[in-house]
Amino acid sequence: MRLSDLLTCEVVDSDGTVVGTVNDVRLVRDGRMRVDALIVGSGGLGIRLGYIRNGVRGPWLLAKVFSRLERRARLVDAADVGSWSVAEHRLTLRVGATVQPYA
Amino acid sequence: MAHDRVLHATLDLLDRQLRDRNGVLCGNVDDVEIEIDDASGQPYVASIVTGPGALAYRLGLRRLGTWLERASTGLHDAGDAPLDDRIHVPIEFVTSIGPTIELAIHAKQLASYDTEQWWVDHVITHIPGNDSRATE
Repeated sequence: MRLSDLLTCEVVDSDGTVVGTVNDVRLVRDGRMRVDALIVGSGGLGIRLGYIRNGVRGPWLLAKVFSRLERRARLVDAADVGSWSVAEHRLTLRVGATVQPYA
Repeated sequence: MAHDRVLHATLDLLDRQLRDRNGVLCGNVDDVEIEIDDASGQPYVASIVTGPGALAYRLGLRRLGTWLERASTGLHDAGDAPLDDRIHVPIEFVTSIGPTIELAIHAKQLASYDTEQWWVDHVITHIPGNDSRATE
């Protein structure tokens, strides 16, 4: 699957409740480059510009705006994804998957 | 490559400039190919995707992207590697990820080189005032 396909996917939990759309993918290089987690939310522009968790702090007005816009961003562990149905634009989480705030 | 480094795919990989083993600019990261490991079920980055059509595909122009990738098959010599191999750069050949992404391969091994060369051979050299033939 391509990253661009993954970025259009909707993440739903085991009950079918929509968590959000994949905005970014966190990668960890520990030998091979593995997909560690998905950053899920509704927008994603602030994340892509590095305002959330990547040290971009200014201009302060933009930082405030993007922090506000991305407040609903969530982090989903890749191991918690039970089904990678990218062709159907849908990723289903396992039962008991933890979804934590990202920002 | 450094170990245990955390990256964000859209921020640290997509659209980054690629440099070949000689430092020559040779395209951008247009997309990233992710595969699921059969044994562990863990997804991992298999290759970066660069070349004709990959950007169009990423931007949602799926048909145009696929057509451009297919159309570019006629641009490279039959003796070259298959187009799929010239669009995908295995992650093992990425030597450094920073402001630019350094590759351990030559620019000529990439499909984007064929496209650029086609434009040079068929368009640029025919523009009056072009002196590229004089310098060959």
